[in-house]
Amino acid sequence: MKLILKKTNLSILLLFLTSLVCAQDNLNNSKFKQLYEELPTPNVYRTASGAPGHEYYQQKADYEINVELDEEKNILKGNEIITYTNNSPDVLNYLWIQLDQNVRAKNSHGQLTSTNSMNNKMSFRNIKRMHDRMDFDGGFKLEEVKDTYNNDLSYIINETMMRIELPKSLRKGQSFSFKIKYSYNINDRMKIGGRSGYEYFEKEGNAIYTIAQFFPRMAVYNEVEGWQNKQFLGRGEFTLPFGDYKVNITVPSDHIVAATGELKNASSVLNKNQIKRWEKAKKNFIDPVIIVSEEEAKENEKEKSKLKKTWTFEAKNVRDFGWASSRKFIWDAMAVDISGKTVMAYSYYPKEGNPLWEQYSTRVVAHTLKVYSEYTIDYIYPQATSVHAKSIGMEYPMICFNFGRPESDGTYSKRTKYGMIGVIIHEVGHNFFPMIINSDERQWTWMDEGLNTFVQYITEQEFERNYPSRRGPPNNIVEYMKGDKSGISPIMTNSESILQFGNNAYGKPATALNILRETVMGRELFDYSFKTYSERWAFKHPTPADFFRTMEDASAVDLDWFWRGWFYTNDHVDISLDKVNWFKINTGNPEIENTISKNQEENKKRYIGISRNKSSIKKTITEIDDQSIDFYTTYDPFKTNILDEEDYNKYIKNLDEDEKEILKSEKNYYELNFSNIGGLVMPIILEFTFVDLTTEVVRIPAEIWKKNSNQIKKVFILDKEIVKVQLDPFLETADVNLNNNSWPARNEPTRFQIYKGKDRNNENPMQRAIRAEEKSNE
Amino acid sequence: MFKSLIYIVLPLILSFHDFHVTHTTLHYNSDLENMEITIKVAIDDLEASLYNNELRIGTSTENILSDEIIKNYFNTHLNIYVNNKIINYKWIGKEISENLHDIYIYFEIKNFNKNKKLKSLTIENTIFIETTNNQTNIVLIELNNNDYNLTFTKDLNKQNIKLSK
Repeated sequence: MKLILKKTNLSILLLFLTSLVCAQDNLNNSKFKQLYEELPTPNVYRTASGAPGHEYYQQKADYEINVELDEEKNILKGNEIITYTNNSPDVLNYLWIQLDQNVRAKNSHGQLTSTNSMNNKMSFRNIKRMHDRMDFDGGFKLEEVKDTYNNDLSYIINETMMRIELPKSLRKGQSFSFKIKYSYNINDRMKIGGRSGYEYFEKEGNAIYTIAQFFPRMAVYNEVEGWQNKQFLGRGEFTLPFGDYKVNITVPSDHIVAATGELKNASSVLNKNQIKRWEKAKKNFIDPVIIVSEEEAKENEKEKSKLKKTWTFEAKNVRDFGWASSRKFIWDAMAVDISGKTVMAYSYYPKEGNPLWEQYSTRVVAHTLKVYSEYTIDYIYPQATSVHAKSIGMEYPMICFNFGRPESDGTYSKRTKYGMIGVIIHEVGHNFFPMIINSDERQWTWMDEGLNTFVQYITEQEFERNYPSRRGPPNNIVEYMKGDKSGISPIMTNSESILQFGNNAYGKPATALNILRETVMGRELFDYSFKTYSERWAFKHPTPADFFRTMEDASAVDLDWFWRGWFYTNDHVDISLDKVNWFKINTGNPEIENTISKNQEENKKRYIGISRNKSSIKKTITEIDDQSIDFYTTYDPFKTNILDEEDYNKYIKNLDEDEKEILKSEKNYYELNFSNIGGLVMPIILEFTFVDLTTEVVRIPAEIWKKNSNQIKKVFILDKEIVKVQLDPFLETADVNLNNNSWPARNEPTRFQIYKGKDRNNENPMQRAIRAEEKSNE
Repeated sequence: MFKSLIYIVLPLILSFHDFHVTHTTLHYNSDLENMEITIKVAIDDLEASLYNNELRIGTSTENILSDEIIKNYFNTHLNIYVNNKIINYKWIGKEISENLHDIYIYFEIKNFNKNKKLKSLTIENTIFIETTNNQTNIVLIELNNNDYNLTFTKDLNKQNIKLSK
């Protein structure tokens, strides 16, 4: 059918087709509805802009800790003085202290509430671990809880939390000091797991101790949760106030100790040679300096000293403390320049970590500090340490424990190498989220893991071009997001209740931020806002609302629809390009239009019999017999007569100049029909390919869905005819179905089909390289 | 030398490592009438489940029998029943993911819907449930224009789908 576009039709066509927003229950269910109901009301502590308010406060907890490691029995004995300062306007009558080690106590809630079941396919190894876990006598054994005058304090232990009754109410500005004496059995983390513990090396009878959650710690008190006394069940990590630490660690005298903070008694624990090398490292910004070499470590681990040494560390304004100790440690160090200030990067690892660790660990620490400082805030702690710990990745202020162990013959797979670099970036990155930008991990895993995984992705890409990052690019999250919805919880789910932890709290938020940066906000607006959030909340306790609000406040981009969809639902992205309609303006000129119509008629598909008859029927009656002809036999509907011309001239006369201009322009009008199958509203990115094979990219903000989030139409006025339209051509929206993204329709081959179509051999790249080398040496 | 007895799996752990989910896609290729099976698993989980075999996937000393071992494992732990009859599938190959964390394992069932007699489809998925307590196995079945999304756990390891006409 021909369409005559008159003035009115044209203007209608240029509008988006807007059908009614579904309104079954008479409520505003728009995907663009503001988040007023989801976010807490702004107040004097936290503003609507996402910044700390004028009455913002936070508590302080200072620690003096003495611990002694009993290497024979794997027991840690300790005593501490905690000084707690109440900066809140509230009067406190009791304090909550966290006893995280109790998660490993027999019959702890952590164990009781971790669901498991038996079946006939369980491996012996799995059953053995269940025994090991249940048999382990874990948890803090408290000997005394006293005030500084040695009076017993009244307390009650509820699982991983302890409430101490204050002798006198604690008012704003007041401090209270108290002492706790305790011990606990250190877990063999290779047998029963754990963020900390020891790994035993049977051959030489030595262990690497990676020690954390090793002292009773203050819980956070603030205006968001009151006391954060949600139990530690295992998944939801830590929520801790800032404070100053002085820690004395007594270990066998041949151990090397790494810890949060700065070593204050180097001359009594290190030899002259080591101190000399360390001083050299403090001036070496290019590559690491070995302070304890592999040869020295190998020699050191041969015998065990019965003597002890005490290492003294101090740390200012940190939320926690961790340390590691072993006679197996190799130690190297280099200096890092952070905006003119020197920060030290350290690594501690056994010979089993080499050759990978000596080559990469400290370099990666230095690189991570630089990149994160650029995107968040300058790293202001004096050092950052990476400690080798098989199978885990775990973070504490200034120190983290990281996996990455080569084979015993010194070779390693590509996966081991990049896995190790990735985990070091990630765990060192945790210094920023949550150690400095101190979100509540017990409630929201994504606030530190998601934000950190996002910056980790940037850091990996800056480490090596096309670094094989696991999380960050949108197409890596597709498999998760298109999965069975009963297995997917929204990002805004409490840490303990998250399903598919890694995808939910690491992968999806990191991807969401990447999409904001590349597609929704653009790098400049995003980077400024993300930095603003980091600056505002450094050394403070941000909540999800503070993050959401800051990102909008600093960029003037309304992102409520994005938070709502990506963080509050488990919807996915599947936008479909349903249809492309092509229109040209009818010129009204019978000479032109009739020719077009005639061509169309002649080019129509025809029944085969008609084409055959063309040659097989030599002559028809009307061709032979003149008498069989009348008006209808010769009538040509496409022939122009004088009346048609008059109509046309009249039509032209009634047009104004602008309209005549449009008529002359010969533009192509393409009406594209989209539907939203996945539920998430997203920007529409299109690539047009024209007849001359040139291309043009059009980017439309997500607000195109603001009145109808299910189906929309959009018209594009183009000079040239198009031969192809591709939706999301740069794979930036995490669209789960690429088969409805092209016009003309095109099915993307599956991974299976690509693999099957490839030539391949059974060798892996390393095997092939070895064989090639052998051959060339022949 | 101490061979690591235990790898990390229990919930009481770590902040970086993965969380025991496998993805299986059964894609019916209507042009060739084959069922194309793609299984994506974490290499760590696979090696842990087959720890006696020392697969060393992707290393220069990868077990030369690794394909055979992996094939046998999945033949035992992923059972596909058509019309209540168990169906054998053919090994196509394996490849490591671009991000090096996972391995894709490919199988194929030829003439899957021969004579259009497919009435019921049952999947039994016990991948890794013997080694981890909180294993989740996700299966997506793409059958012509119908998608079926299933989640398997230790307690729900066999599911039947009703085929819409």
